[in-house]
Amino acid sequence: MPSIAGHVKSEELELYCLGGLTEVRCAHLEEHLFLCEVCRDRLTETENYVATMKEAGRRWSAEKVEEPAGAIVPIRRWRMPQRSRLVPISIAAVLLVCAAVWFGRHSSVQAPPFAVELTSVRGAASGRAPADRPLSLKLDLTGLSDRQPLVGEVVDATGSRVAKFPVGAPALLKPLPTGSYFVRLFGASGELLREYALTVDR
Amino acid sequence: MNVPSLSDSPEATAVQEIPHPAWSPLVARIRAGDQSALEELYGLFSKGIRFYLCRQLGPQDLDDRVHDVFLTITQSIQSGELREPERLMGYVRTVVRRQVAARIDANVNARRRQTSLEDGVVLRDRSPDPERLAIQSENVAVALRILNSIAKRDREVLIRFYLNEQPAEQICREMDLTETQFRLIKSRAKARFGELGKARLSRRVGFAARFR
Repeated sequence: MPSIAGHVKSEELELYCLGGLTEVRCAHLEEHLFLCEVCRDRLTETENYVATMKEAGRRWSAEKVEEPAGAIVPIRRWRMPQRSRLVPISIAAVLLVCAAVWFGRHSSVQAPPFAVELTSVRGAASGRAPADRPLSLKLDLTGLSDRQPLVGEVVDATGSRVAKFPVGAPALLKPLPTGSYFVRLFGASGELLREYALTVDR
Repeated sequence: MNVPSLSDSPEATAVQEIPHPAWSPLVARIRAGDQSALEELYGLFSKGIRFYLCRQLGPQDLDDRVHDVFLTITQSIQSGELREPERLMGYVRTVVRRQVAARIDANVNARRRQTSLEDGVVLRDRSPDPERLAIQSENVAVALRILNSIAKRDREVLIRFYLNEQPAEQICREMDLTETQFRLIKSRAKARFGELGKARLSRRVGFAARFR
């Protein structure tokens, strides 16, 4: 009976989970996984670990970004404002609010793109993104490096296409209305290779 | 309970290239119609193929899919389509990947047909079950403890690699690290994660034993 020798390096397994292996190395690894139960178990553990570290990193970054904002508020002694000072301050505040509202409605400057990470592995939750913001799609292209060039399209829940984009360069999409979408990847000859779920909500 | 046990065993890290087994004798026996060779092929690949298909498509109809893949592989071997027996592994991978692509295609078509018949959109809840969610949140708490307790530079390495998915070369270049330092930072964090996970489990086992 044919037998295998050796196991996959831990770094390779991590890179596989993160989609960072070349097609050749990806093929080697997947072929080894067909035969090696030890490495299959290690891959499952590594997947859990990578997902955990990713989530922990996300939470840690979010918490630490908020901290400095609270720390730079200057502490000053409270002083009762004089009535004569209150009038111009109130007018300035009202003008500022009006300007902000007008600018928000009429400005063509959009909010920065919202980065959405999409993966096609079943069991994972669909990608979520807010409405009214441009989207920067980050697609999991594991195992597709030999199928370039790829073309992507976004369809709504009824299958109607709402956007089309080349894969490779960062995919920037205009804001999508609330709803369920599917992002599809096609190969050069038009065959469907992947489909990712995307939910846009408020 | 799913405990992280991620030790980098020397065996796992020492092997650079994985040698492939010799497939010619097995392929020759299958071509000759040897029934035991088919059983051997099934015994070798069935778990791996099942694992791959389950990761990509989920557990639904898994037995049927594995069966389809084996049927395709054995028919191809017997009809002489597999011209290089030593590339059997690569051929198996290609067949499995085609099966995955075909399944996705079928799902897309089925969904298109279903949505045209119904008023609303039916989407499956793909979120993990409550037990899995609890395990995940405990694991994330452990990972957060590690991130909070390590040096700023080490934390930046981990966040760049796992969250921002920057390549190792870029991290080493921008943070002025050697490859060994980079690997050490990662493996230390992984070992700590495993230790804390085990400690958590042993506390639980001790607690349960006292009340048994």
